[in-house]
Amino acid sequence: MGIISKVTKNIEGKAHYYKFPVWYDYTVGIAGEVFAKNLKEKGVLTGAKCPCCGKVYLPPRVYCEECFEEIKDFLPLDPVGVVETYCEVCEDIDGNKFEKPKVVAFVRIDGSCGGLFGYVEGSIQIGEKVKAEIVEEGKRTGTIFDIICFKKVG
Amino acid sequence: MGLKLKRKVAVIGAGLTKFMRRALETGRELGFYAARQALDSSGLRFKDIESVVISTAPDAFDGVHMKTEWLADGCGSFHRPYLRGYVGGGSGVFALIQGWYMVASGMFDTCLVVAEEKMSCCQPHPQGAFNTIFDHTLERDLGVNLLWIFALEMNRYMQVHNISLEEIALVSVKNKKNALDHPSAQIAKAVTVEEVLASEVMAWPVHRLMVSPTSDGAGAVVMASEDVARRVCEKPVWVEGVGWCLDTAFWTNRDLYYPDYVEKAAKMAYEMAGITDPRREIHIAEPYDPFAYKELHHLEGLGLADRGQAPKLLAKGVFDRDGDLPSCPSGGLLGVGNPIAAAGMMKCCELFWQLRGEAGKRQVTRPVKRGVAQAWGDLMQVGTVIVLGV
Amino acid sequence: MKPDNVRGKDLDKKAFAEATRIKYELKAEYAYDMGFAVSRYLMGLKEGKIVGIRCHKCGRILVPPRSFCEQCYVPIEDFIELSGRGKVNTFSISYVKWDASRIEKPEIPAVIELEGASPGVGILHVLGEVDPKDVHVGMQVEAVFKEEKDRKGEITDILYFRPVR
Repeated sequence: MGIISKVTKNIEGKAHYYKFPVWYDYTVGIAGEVFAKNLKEKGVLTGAKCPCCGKVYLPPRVYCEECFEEIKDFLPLDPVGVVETYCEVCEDIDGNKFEKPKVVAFVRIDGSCGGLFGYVEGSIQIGEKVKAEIVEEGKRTGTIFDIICFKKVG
Repeated sequence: MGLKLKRKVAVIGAGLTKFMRRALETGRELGFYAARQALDSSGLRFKDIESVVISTAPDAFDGVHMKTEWLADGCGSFHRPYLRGYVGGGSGVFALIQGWYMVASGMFDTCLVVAEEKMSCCQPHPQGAFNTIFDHTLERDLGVNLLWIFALEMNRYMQVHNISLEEIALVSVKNKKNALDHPSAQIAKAVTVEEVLASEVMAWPVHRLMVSPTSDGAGAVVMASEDVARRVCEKPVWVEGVGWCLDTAFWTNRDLYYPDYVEKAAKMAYEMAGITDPRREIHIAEPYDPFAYKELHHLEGLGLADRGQAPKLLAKGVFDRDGDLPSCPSGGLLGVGNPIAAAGMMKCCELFWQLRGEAGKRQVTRPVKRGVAQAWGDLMQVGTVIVLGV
Repeated sequence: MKPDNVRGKDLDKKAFAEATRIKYELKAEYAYDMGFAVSRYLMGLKEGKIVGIRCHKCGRILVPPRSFCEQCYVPIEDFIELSGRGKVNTFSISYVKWDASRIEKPEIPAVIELEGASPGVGILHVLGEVDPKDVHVGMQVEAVFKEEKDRKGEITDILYFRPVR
């Protein structure tokens, strides 16, 4: 009896279950700490400017991917930008439907070649200008959760 | 096998970060530090890098799926063809083997090879991520942990050859002392055999000071074709032989006392290098030492000592920095640290610097023209070997 | 001396706690299929038996059983019941758990070469009913199974191996 027949042969067997037991505690890194500090203390975003090509990265990083030069120049950026794309999320990661679809956008932040993902309040169009609503001072953590959502400007 | 090297490949630059228990830097930042340093020391510009190999062990440590793709831009891969190297702990040496064949094939003239690991993200302890290496149905439910498997192998090795704990403890003494002269070292320390044996028994016969730590760190080398190497590098270090071999994952069906897979990988590398008498023709060795006994185990697999005899040679001082065949002059994993993939890379970087006379206080006494680096990984399975020479 | 200018900021426990950190709970659960050979092995364990398999080409008798001989690279199917006895090939006395926490009463993992299988062929399991001081390589042991009603067709249907009396 060849191996192929075994695949279809009916045998008693059940699945064996396993839950991967670890969780994660990530540091945000050198550039990430600058981003965290500016967001927490001043409510602003941070870009990183390459000394060679002038590209401003957001989220900030300590190297330029194109020039491979080290970046030490971090600049504050207002949390304002343009919706580059968006989608409407109808269910959560486990497949449970939301009462109302959630709008998630990728916002190209002004003054940078990068951007951030964020929830958007209300309906939105590609190309529209939005601004982040930031958690009030004193209650910020310096993480992405300090951005409550993006809202249309004007 | 009789493979003739058609195209010579050299290592022309190397870089290494600190090895740390918990780095503030992200994996990408660590990769950048190492890669930039390797590039700066190579004489090449970033635009001269045609291909990239990134080596990093389980995604489960950094906690990033498709880890190399995420690390890639920090490791110089922007818009370049890249390859991931992944054979567990064997990755750090395997990365150079892959870099070698990127260039030896003729497809590329240069290759930036980076190895990185950030284990500290994994909670409650990075050791937990290793659990999935064991068989999901037949082993994990027994409450396995990684220490078991090393302890089982160490005990078998000691039993078959009648080796004592004292003889094995000498490896920790040697390597932790050697590491005192390594700027990247995480746990360098002058210890005695008594202190090693008095340290906590974790899984007998393994004592705490016989185990390498979990670490964050990165290393990198630049590899180039002969043409490029001779133009930009004053003293290229040539790849003379490469070898790799994988044994079965049915590890309980093999006798663990001897690493067949290391012997076979070494045979492949020595044949390519034209080495027939490794003990005479290899001048310096960096075998993989995640646990103290492992260095001895691997020295035997590499043919640098008869089976069961490595401890005797160690005790005679043969493997000391001023001995006939210095082994782990860097301080190894036991002294410098063990960020899984970057650890093997650290060994290759050590050979690079030793062969060029740049190892400073770590420089071995005897003249060296040819060295072997070896890494090991997976479920006591993989041997990866590289022979470098000037 | 190389390397020079090594970079990296090492955080001690306190500094790590104070750094900006993102916690993430990984939701990764698996339902593994057993395959043909392991299913048969587990069925055997449920019946209180240890089952191996023979390669008709090289003649090796293997355990845990598998659908193909990895050395001959042919499919195999001759299951053979083994005695449940064996000898300790190697062992450890472990005071550390998977999460690096410490335990007072050690666990004794061992590779047990099973009687009836080819020489050197064994399985991983734990030893019980034995003082760690008395364990030695070559010790003759036998499998101790759970009560029939408690067996589920898992490796833990064998509680442990104990020294043969």
